[in-house]
Amino acid sequence: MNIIVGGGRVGRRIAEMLEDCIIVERDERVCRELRDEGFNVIHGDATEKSLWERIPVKDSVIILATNDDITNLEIARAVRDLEPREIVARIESEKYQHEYHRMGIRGVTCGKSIASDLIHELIESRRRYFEIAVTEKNFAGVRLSDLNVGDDCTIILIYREGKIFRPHPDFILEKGDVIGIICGREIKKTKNPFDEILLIVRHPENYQTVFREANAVSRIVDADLLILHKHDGKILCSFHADRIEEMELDEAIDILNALEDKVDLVMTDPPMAKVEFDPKIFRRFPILFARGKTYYGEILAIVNTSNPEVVLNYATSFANYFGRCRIMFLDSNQLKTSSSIVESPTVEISVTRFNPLVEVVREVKKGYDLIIFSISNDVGNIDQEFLWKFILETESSVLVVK
Amino acid sequence: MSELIEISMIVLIAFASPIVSQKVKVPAVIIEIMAGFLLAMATGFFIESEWFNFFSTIGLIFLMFLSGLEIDFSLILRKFRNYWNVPVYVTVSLLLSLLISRYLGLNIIYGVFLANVSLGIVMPVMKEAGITDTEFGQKTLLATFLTDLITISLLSGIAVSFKPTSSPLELILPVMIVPAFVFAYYLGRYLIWHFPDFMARFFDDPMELGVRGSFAIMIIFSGLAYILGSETILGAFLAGALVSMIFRGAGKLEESLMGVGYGIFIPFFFIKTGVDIFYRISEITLYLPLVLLISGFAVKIIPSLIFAKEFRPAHLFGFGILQSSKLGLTLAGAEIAKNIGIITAGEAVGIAIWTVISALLFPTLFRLVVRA
Repeated sequence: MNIIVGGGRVGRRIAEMLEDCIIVERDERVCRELRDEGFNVIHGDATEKSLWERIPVKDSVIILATNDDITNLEIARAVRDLEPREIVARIESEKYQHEYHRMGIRGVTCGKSIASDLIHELIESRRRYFEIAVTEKNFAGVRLSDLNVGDDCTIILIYREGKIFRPHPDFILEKGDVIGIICGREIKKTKNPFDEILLIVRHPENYQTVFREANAVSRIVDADLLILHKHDGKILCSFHADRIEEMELDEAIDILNALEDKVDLVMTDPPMAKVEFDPKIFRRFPILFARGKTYYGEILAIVNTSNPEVVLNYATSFANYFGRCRIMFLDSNQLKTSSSIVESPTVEISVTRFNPLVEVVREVKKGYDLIIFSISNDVGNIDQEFLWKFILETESSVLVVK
Repeated sequence: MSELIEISMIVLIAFASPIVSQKVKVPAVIIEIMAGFLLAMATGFFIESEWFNFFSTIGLIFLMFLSGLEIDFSLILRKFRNYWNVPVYVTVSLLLSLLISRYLGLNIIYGVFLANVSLGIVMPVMKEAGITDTEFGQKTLLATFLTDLITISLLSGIAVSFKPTSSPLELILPVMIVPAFVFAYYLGRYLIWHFPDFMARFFDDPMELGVRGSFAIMIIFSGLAYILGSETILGAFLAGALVSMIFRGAGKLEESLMGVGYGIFIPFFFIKTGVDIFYRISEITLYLPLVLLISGFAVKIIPSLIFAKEFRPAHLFGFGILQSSKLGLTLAGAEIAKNIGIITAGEAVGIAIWTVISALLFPTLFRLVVRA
């Protein structure tokens, strides 16, 4: 069952789209109107726990459609212990977005019309693509970068006068435009690919350094951080590691091989010298060799793969959460298959002009906080020896993806 | 005054050759050889001209330098494991070549000539057909690179072993170019890592630092090879391979060096080859070029059956045909073999004629077969 809190315009529109739903509304006059229109309505204050004890909340979807974030969050606190299947909210102000996120609430923040459609989309999870017409009342005159469609959705195109435009952050919407949006779990993965971060500590002397970085990353991207380390000869998994013993490389690799796909990112201390990794490990999760950074103000993404999307997704995700990211394509042909990537205030795109190896090394030596590259390394002329130099001989943290 | 006229004629031929080659759809190199032949026939100049011989030698050195530069070592390393049948093809083809040269009672160096293939022909033909990035194209390129690398090494080895020596040191000294090559390679890689801004100037400098540097490397290695008792062209080839390996493909720099090489120096070598053919015409028999043409085709087409399962018949046949085309390295090898005394001047001219015919015949056949 779906329980909609708030019987305003957004709440009604969602109720029209859903079959099995109840609206909770505290204004008696609005309740009467809704009943007259044929909706199932419960009158009461949703911030009070006693109200929720009267409703079968367990395994229901709670849709918070009031126009007040503080009220929404208060309701969420009251209801979340009753084990609803999911809580989805219409977010009025972006400053509360983090709080919603922290409470595990899926949210949408872009005006009433789009919010109702998107919330419906999130609940139903049936349709992946839909369109929103821009009118004077909703988004005409709004910059695309100011339009937040939530974690699970992304704008992929804008129709204007028969032409298709790519969604550039500075694009200003006009009346008559049609926004094309796709939604899905994988979109969330693109926007924030990390829910679970695993820190593997091999050398005790590096613990403080890598923990500092892993802790900072997990805090900023709002991911859970687990620490895998050796203690009294046993491998332990915990939130805090008091005592750490030296872990052999083979042991670490065995752990990586045995890990299920639950982990989104593995962070570890860089090895002392070049080691042989099975590339299959990187196909399952990216590995970040941490240098103790607490923030990635400058990021360099090297697109050294014929399948650039993976590098680009991580690059844009990190740029969303951290600082500026420079994306270096090694071959202009790669741009033909990477049409989704666009420049923005945080993402700068460049293509190497004369020799990728020399140009990338020159860039790496500028001292980035984070370098991202692909293990496949099938585009460009950077050889393994230099990729290892990026890991072993720079002060940058290095993220290696599939 | 006469020297000025000679220079003018040569540079005019060098200028006109690409234009004519485009019109008649024949490689410019062949036009230059034919023009050299006709020029010698018409004027009777050049044979004793010192400057002509000097520029021709520089042209040959440049040709070998560019042959080394063109080899894409990253492609060899990347594809070697996946395209395991390509090294098998190259090995079988080489063994067949050596066997045939022995069966025909020819010097072992003929085995190298028969096995050789011209990257200078293969690359433009593949680009023209638009199949460079296909699996067929990549395998063809890998086979060409590998063959080039192996044949130039064998050529140098044979040249050194046939040289008259007075002490064992004279046999060991030429090998010393290998450590010099390894040292220079690691020095180059060190410089890229520690001084990337400086190394970037090799490619992006208004004063063409890259061309100057490459030219210096080419001359130093050629000179070193000469001092150590090896062939200058081996030094030049290694210099080209060195630049290619350090930078993992020379890219834009290669274009500039090609411009200098093929635009200025290399035409002298090919025109001189034409002139030599004219002056040795009395020593030529049709037998040698014909035997080499048939044998050269056989040693390439028979092993290509290895690819019978993966290539369609047209591509299978086309692969063998294109691998049979000869050009620069065969001509350079013949020049070396003649200078050391392994073959006679008449044989060198016979090899030149075989080269010219193969460079004309096989690319044309390839176009017909693959298009069909």
